[in-house]
Amino acid sequence: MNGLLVLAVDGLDWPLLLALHDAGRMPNLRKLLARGAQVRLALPPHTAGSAAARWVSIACGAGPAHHGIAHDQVCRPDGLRLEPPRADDVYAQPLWQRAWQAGLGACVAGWPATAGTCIPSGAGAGSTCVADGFQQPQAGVQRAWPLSPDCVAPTADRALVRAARMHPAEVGDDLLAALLPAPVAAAPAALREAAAQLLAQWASAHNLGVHWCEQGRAPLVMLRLGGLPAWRQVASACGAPGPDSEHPWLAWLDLLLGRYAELLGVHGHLMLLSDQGREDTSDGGMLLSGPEGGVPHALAQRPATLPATLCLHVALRLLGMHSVPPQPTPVLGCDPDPALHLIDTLRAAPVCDDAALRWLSAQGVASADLGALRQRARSVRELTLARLGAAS
Amino acid sequence: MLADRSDGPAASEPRRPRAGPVAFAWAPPGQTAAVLTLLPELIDTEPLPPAFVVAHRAGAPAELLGAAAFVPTMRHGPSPGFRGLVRVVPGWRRLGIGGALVARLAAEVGAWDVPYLLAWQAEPEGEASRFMQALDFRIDYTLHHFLIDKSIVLPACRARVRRLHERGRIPPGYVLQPLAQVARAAVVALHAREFNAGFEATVAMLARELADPLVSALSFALWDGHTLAAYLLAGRGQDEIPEVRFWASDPLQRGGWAAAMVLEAFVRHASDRGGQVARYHCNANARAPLNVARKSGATETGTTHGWVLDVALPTLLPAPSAWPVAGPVITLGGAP
Repeated sequence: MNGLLVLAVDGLDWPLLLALHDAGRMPNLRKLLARGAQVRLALPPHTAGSAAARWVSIACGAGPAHHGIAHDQVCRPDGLRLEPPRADDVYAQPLWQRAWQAGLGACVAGWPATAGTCIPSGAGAGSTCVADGFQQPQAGVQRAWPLSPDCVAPTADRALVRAARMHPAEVGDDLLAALLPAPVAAAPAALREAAAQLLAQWASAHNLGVHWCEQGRAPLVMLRLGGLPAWRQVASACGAPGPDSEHPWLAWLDLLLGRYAELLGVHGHLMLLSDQGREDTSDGGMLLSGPEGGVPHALAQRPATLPATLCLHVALRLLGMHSVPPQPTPVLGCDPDPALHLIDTLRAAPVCDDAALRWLSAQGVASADLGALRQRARSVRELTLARLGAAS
Repeated sequence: MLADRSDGPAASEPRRPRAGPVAFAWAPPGQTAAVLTLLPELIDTEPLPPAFVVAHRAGAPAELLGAAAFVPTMRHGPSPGFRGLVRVVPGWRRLGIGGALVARLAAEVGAWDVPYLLAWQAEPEGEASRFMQALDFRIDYTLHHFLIDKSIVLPACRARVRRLHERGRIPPGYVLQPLAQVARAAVVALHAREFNAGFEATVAMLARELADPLVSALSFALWDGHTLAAYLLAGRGQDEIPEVRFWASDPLQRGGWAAAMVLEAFVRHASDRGGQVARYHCNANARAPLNVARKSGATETGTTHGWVLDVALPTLLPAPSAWPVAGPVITLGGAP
């Protein structure tokens, strides 16, 4: 494959990664760094509390005030519940959209705010978008694992996604043994379950990534491996706090990096990203590896910390798209938090279709007390908006 | 509940309107609150359905004739699937609108790779059950319903518990405790295993139910500090009458003693709170609690069935995802 692989790892502790590298415990990372450089990334303001806001910011090269995603949940159009953001909630163009617009192929998996993505007809062959959530099963046994209709574009790739994803119930003790900080039999059930969840999540995205890279399916492949912050929380609650519980996962990440380096070959580029480390205030990180004399080596001459939004421009340059202007997007003008603007807009909108309510009342369905019905809908909406307001 | 023919208009109700062209479409966001008056069971559901399918008079989107939706949360059981809800305005039933809505709902559930569409709740024999049977639904489970008259059941329960003590059937160490005070993880594990429920959904359900003071006061568990022998989660019926919502014992502690003890505690405390009757519902496959209820003198008041539709069966219509915004117009029931 002669292209760019972006591997985004949620909550990857960059100092810990480098410390393990320095200790000689990340051999594949060492090889990648020998062909590139790493920098710390400063995330845009108002993204500290939301992984969706951080990853959309990195993909769009702009902050929430520009792309519209400031939280892990957004209000439904009817204002009655909060839901994870969807592709049409993002006002700016993420990297993959720009690649498609330029006629390139791009495959994306696990990135937030990608459900409902439409791949334009001019996009390069093999383009695929698999929304975040495809890899997260609802609790229970694996007798049926729903996959929402708008999770995979194009629809023809649903069978591939079903085959690629791994359910935590498939994770046996033999697989867990290397990833738990204690022997499997001695580990608390919650820790085993969290490890199975994380392993299955990473494996699901990795399976797709390897397939796409092996096929040379598109010049741009973007994968997001989520779940590390949740693992950290469970490990801490189970009495295994600190870096020791993360060492096995970073060792596994090193194996994944080795596999991708092999698939990318000498001409491909690999961009490893972290959005945030252990503490909420810490920065992310970027490692860029590629052919000698190219962008990765120029990166080594830059300051130690760069704005995270620069990742987009680096990727565009690697794909030869830096001169392609983005499509114009609406100016939100609602800095700093678009959610606050949305709350005002929704509050001003009518809560109910009064004509429908009058009709149903005349049919004997709704209570004759239309005021009470409107009040009920209004209270549900207010509750939802209050939750969004609290998050803001 | 799936309702088309069910609860149909009585003879005294207004004359059925002459049916005309009916359009099917997704409800626009501004109509959600109005649609929820047709499907009030969904108002507090989390998550809300991703979308609502509505039937309305062609050319008059506000004149809703029916609505349908499913909740995209897996219900694990003999037939894993999503629960769906369909309702047609009373004066417009028996015209095929309900069946058309169910077909669309089934196609949409199938588009999630989910094998079954489950009826919202168990239904007694009657119009609703016949309606679902006519649409190729089949019975997934059967519930037996009992009315517990405490003046009869409490003495029987007490006598049974006394006999268990006298015969040394109760293992040492187990103490009857309020369910809210027992390690929640053990309750979740037993509940999830016995009722094929998801862990997260069980945690949320227990937190929600036990927040009700009446439910908390009437829910009990047998706990020895390490293992849970049995638990009973009470509920508050629509008419405020207390009921046994969930009742299960550990497979290693079967034989009826644990189930009998938590039932006795429930009946005793419900009686102390002044109520004379309580309700109990039991799956026909749960033989031990069914026998305990019958032997305790509870009166069986009827049965209901949980209905399920295999959405992999061929359906008549394409998935609604493929619809244009203003869905197809179908003429039902003759000329307008």
